[in-house]
Amino acid sequence: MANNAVTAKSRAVFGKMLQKDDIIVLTHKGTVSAAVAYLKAKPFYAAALADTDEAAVHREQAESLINRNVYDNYLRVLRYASGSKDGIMSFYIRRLECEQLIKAVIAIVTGEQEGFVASFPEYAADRFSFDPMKLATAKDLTTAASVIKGTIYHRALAPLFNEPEPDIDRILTTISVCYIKWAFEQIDRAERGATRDRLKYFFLRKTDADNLMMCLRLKALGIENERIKELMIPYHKRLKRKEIDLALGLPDAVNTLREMFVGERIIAEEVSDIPEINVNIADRRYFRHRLAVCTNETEALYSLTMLMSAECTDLCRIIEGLRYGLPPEEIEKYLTIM
Amino acid sequence: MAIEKVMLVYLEGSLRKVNKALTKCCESGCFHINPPPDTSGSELAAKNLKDKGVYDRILKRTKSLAETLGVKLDQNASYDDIDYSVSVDFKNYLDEVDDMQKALTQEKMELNSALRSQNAIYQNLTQMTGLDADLSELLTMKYAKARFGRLPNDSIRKLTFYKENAFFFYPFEQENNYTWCLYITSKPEANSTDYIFNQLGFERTKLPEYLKGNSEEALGKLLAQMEDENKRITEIDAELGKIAAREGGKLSKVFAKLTAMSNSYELRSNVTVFDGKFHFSGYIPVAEKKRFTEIMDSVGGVTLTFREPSADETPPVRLKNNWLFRPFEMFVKMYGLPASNGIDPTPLVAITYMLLYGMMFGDLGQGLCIMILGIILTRVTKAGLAPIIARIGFSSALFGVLYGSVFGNEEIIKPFFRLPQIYELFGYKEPPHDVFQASNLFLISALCVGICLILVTMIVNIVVSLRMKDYEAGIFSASGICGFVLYGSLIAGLGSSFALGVDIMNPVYVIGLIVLPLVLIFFKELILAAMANKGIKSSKQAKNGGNIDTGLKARLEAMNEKKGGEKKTVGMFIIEGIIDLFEVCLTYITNTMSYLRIGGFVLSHAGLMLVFSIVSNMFDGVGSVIVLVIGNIFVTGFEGFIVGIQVLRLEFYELFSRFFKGGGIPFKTVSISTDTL
Repeated sequence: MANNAVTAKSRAVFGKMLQKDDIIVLTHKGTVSAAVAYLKAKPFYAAALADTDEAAVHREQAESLINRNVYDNYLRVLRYASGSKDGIMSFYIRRLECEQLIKAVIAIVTGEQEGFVASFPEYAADRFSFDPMKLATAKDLTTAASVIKGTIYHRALAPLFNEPEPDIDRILTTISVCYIKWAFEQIDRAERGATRDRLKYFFLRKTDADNLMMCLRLKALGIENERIKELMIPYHKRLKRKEIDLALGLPDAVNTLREMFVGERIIAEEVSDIPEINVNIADRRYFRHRLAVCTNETEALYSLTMLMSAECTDLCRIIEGLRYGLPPEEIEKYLTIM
Repeated sequence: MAIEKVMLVYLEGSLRKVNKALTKCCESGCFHINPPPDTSGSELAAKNLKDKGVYDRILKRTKSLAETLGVKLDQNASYDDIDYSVSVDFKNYLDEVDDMQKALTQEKMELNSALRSQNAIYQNLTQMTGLDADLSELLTMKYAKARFGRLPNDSIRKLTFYKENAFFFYPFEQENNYTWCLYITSKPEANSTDYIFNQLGFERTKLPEYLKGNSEEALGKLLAQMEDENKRITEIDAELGKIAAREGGKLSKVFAKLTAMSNSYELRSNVTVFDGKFHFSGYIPVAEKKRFTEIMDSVGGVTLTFREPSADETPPVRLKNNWLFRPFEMFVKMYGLPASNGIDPTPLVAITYMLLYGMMFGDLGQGLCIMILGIILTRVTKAGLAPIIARIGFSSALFGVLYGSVFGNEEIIKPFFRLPQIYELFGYKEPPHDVFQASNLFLISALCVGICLILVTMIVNIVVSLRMKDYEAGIFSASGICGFVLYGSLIAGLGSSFALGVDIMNPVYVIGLIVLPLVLIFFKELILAAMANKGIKSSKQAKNGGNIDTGLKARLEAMNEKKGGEKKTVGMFIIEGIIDLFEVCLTYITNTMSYLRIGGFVLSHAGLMLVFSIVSNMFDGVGSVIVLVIGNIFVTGFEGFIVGIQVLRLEFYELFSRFFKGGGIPFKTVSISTDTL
């Protein structure tokens, strides 16, 4: 029963999310205020934006509230989980935690801790395995190492943090590796058979996409191939290391990488010039299908969270586009739902 | 059992007239459009029009604008006087309306926002009533800066990060996810402190300049200001109302026209263009040919070519029934539409459904109640089940008269089973006192009804299958000619022996009418192969196009090839054949026994009503009446519903499975609809 509860609730939450029509209307709203006013009238965002003053709301605030809505809905569904809520079901909290750890490391190294403090999701902090406020006040990475003591990251990160000249890129890759390792351990503990393989595939889709995007970015910046290979997350599914090695060695590496795909191919009408958008479109389609057919609660919650995150990303792009006065057609280029 | 006859029509004309032709097709209400042919490999430079969703955005914008103005759009509005014909015309008009309302809507939003802030200020000022200081002085200090506003609750803990910065923070009231607060900082630190608070999501509320004096004086001024703003909002609403009244009608017409244009554009994806001319095809009912031609003549320059659908085409199916049977089409469609060359089983379904329902739930009073409910529902709602309820209610009432049951009371009308001709026929020496004493009569009657229905459906199957040249189903299946002879002779033999005491099952009868059909069913594949070799191919064989060898070995080899290498020996063939025969016989028994439920429900109805009758006798006066009323409502709702489902089960499993050949494509008339918007 409880197993069905999460899948049923996930589908119910998905049913409340925005439709394509809503996205088109939003791109035509003209101002952030008008877009927020429109979202306030939608059931999925009504509670999150209820206290917002749409006339005074600014971009960062709107984005933060939309992000929080994903987290709140994730927790709402998580309540119905039959088993442990700390295992693989807590994947979203761990993901947020990783993202914040990455931001904190960058903030410490660049001395921009104020920005980190202002932007970190305080609403999720009590579920993190470390105190982000303490991390924010850390003066250097050695102090930061003591803050993350006892967490899944400490063993792998402490030696890197304590190096005389820490390699930031390697640290960031290591954080992602810690997350994947943790996820795979939890999956092995909780699931068996095809469900286990599929859940692992969910995470590997993400690493494939992250690796491809990183290769593209670094190659465009002229970084050496050996360094790029060193920084790649050592997990892959469809994006084989051999293929990447081959692509990186080609004279037209950037274009070759742009044409590689990591998820399922999408229909021609939806193909975007931006590789990241193509990945997101494929993800959205895949997880919609998974949510419709799955019977496993982790699978359902993961699919729902990915779909909510995709919608959140779309909305943030719309809000950003409206803030900078982009025409609707221009904004649409960056959306995955179109 | 009618499937409306349809014919194929090709339309061809100048590309300029494609929209008009499509619109007229929609207006005709009898045109089923065909998907376009695949033109990818065409050497004639033919192409399909693919311009879906051209009007989507502009339609959404119209809806959004109407929402803002509070205008209710009517998609069916007449738009004859709207002479816009291209997107730009519509866009210009929408821009015009947008300009009228934009400034007012913006002002209203700002006023609402100001009012919300002022409300908050009002709430917070009430907390500062003890503060004996001039507010304007507080906000215009020389060496310090004070800011009033609200901060997200999440950011309050983050302030500890800035504990070394020079500012004082005073929280006031908490409002859901925000805390109203005041911070004071020194003038030199003002910029950096403002930056920090901005980053933390602080929403500053500027205290209006008129808020001078202590907090009590300020409160009075604030209330006056809020009243002014409320008045202005009322004025804006009135102005927006005027715009809505002035433009609402036109906006609605524009929406209707856009919708119509959008839908005709959607239909354009079915059109092929070649040599500057449009081509598309579809089906129309034969009876509508004249009217359709007249409608299309009004377009001018459109050439129509009619022809009968050929054997390899699958025309769409439209059922055609009279008013009595029409509602039962719903059940047929639920199961699947019949094939275009099959028959429409709706009349059979209608008759048997009403008959079986009446037999299983026969009560004059309750039947009339159901009928009245059905009539009311038919008038009030458009639910497809409502007219069926009315019809089965009537049937229930008729059988109620036969059973002598009025709201469970069997004393008012004399039931049929008390007639001497009836009860003596079933072996009773004196009239049964009630239904339970006549249970044998009901159960035997139920079996007889079931047998009749099975035989009828077998005949239907034979006719349909032979018409479709499906010899396997029509001759050799359990419901084909062999099955009919086998089942009929078994029933006739056993029936005459048990009921009349006449044994007609002599060796000739058994070998000719029972064993022979079984043998034919057993060897059906070989016989079919032999027939095919003589040129009598069934539709399936004709489709496969195979020249079938008559030899058992060759036949088995062909079957083996079909099964992907799984070897099938002669022994297996025999075993499978025996199992098939066993299954056929078992199906006859179970199908026949299944109809016993008809008698069962007659008894259960009487039983349930007896229970309520006994309970009502325990009470006096009003109590007794209440129990009877509740009992009747319960039985009508509960049993009436269950019987409905059981009859549907009999229809689908016992009747349809014997003869129904589905796979028909529904005849969908093209229309201008807004379902997708």
